[in-house]
Amino acid sequence: MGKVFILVNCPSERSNSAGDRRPRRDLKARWDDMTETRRSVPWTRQTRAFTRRHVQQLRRNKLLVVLAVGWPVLWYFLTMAFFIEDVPAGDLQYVKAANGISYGLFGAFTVTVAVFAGEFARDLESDRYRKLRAMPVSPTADLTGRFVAGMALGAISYLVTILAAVAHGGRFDLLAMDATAVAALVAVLVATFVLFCVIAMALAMLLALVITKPEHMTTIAVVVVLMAFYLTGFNGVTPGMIADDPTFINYVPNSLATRMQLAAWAGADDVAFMTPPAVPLSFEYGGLLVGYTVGLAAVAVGIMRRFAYGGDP
Amino acid sequence: MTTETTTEAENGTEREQSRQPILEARDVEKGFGNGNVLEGLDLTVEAGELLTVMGPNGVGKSVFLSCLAGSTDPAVGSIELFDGRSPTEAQSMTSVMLQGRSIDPDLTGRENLQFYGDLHPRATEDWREIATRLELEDDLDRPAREYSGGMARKLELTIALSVDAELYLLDEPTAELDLTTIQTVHDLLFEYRRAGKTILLTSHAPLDARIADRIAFVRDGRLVATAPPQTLLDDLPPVVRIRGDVPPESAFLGARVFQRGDEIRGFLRGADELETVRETVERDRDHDRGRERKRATVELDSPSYTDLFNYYTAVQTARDDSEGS
Repeated sequence: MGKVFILVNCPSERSNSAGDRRPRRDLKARWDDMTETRRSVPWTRQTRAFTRRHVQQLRRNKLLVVLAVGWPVLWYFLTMAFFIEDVPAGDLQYVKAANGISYGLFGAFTVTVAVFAGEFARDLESDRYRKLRAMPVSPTADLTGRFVAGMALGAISYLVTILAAVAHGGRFDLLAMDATAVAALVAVLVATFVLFCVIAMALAMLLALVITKPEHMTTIAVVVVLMAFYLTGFNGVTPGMIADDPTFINYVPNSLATRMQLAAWAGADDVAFMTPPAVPLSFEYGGLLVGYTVGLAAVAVGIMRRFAYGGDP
Repeated sequence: MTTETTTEAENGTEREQSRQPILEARDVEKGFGNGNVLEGLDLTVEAGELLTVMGPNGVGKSVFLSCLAGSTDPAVGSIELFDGRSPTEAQSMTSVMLQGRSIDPDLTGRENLQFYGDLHPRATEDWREIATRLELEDDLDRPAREYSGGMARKLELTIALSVDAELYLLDEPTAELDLTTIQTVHDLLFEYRRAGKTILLTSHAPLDARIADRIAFVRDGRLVATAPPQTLLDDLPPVVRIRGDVPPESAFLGARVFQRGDEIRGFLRGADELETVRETVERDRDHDRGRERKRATVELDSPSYTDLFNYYTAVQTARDDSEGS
């Protein structure tokens, strides 16, 4: 004889709490009450749900893990082996540190773009948003959840590359600084890193709209990031490789953020190798970077609202 | 005495409430570039009702369900739920299953349940019992990309039914399921209906017609018939069953016949046409004299749910077209 299951919390019992089995007296009042209470899950819990989902996806994506950890470290060592020569002995440790930071950001940029573009394009293509639109879900919770997951992987990529540079002899003068200076530096590093990831996220979402094949997205993301990296002279670290006037690298988001972070870490006087143009350490450049971030974050929110949660065309 | 009066009043109220619309869609139109999918669809669903929306593939059932759920905006028309609320405003009280659209293949079944459960304000822990009844619990820790179509359907159903909603919108919940599981799903839906929940499901499976309080047939983006199943069956034209021969389609209503196993079925304008069909079959056989053939039987038969589906999705269209022309 087959098993007979009884639904333990059958809605009949749940909806008439405390054993109240009387007929519902006033449906309208009940509906009013229901719409007033528990309209949606709190934004933070929604964000956490999206973050956890993306972390779970990333954990199973071996290609992305390799991309996060191996890719920037590989580029760091290739650069040090084949592109760096004739550096005075005393400067080599700073060059290694500069390349560590540069490729750390490069890795974070690649991972954030690949994660964002791939997963967003996949959700769009599989029409998963049709289900999400049918639920009381906040588009910004979705966006923030994705961003936090992508940034977490980006941070791992960044830190692993910095650690590789330290192991290779790169010198980061963090220990020689006093507490206030360290706090200020960490604030600048975190701020520029977060802004960098926001820029990557917005770029990724634009890519996902244009390229509707999620299976090609990681490759395309890597190509786009490599193009941005080389066209801006290794994210602005080697302006000498740009034939024309390199001033624009202080205004393009990826090179601006990298140069700002390097200059903050090493000190404006110790980064002569990436001048001219002058290092962008003024408030104006900070404002420009914040402007980029706000503008591109608005673009990302707009894309999410319009193309994911805006309904079928 | 007082108790009796109260009970009568309560029963009266309950009857009145059972007629209270929970959903009203008026003149809903929606297109996707190549013309309209929905062409002015009207539908009212009453509180506590189990309504099956039926129609062949591609008539817009899923699009209509998406409109009701607030997932797709209708181009024209209005949709009100729960006494004047828009689909978006009503989302906390509805639970939606959209076929093949929700499962994330990169997550396990359990992770999918957790993700959607974390996003709905009325999600419950009932998924454990539902997954057990649908015999899905042993596969919950496998990646969803390894699921068969039927398993994915079970997972989508578990996600939708584990929400304590007032209205369930289920898009082809029994598609790709085996007969035993379909029976389990029907039992679950009966339990929800008994609990006072309202269920609207779409289907093109005659099995799902059986469980409905009311069926609504959609064709060409419009509602063409809606009534309790027995009423629709009673209103069907006479059904004729032919064994041992393939008669000309022109002898039947709408010039359409349907094969079911070893028999051909069709509809007549009236029972008195049975003789005409018999004569047609015999005349047809006379032409084939000399060939060894079994004796044909032509008789009236009780209509089935498959007949009901065939009539409203294929015959009535052809009949309307021919009578219109």
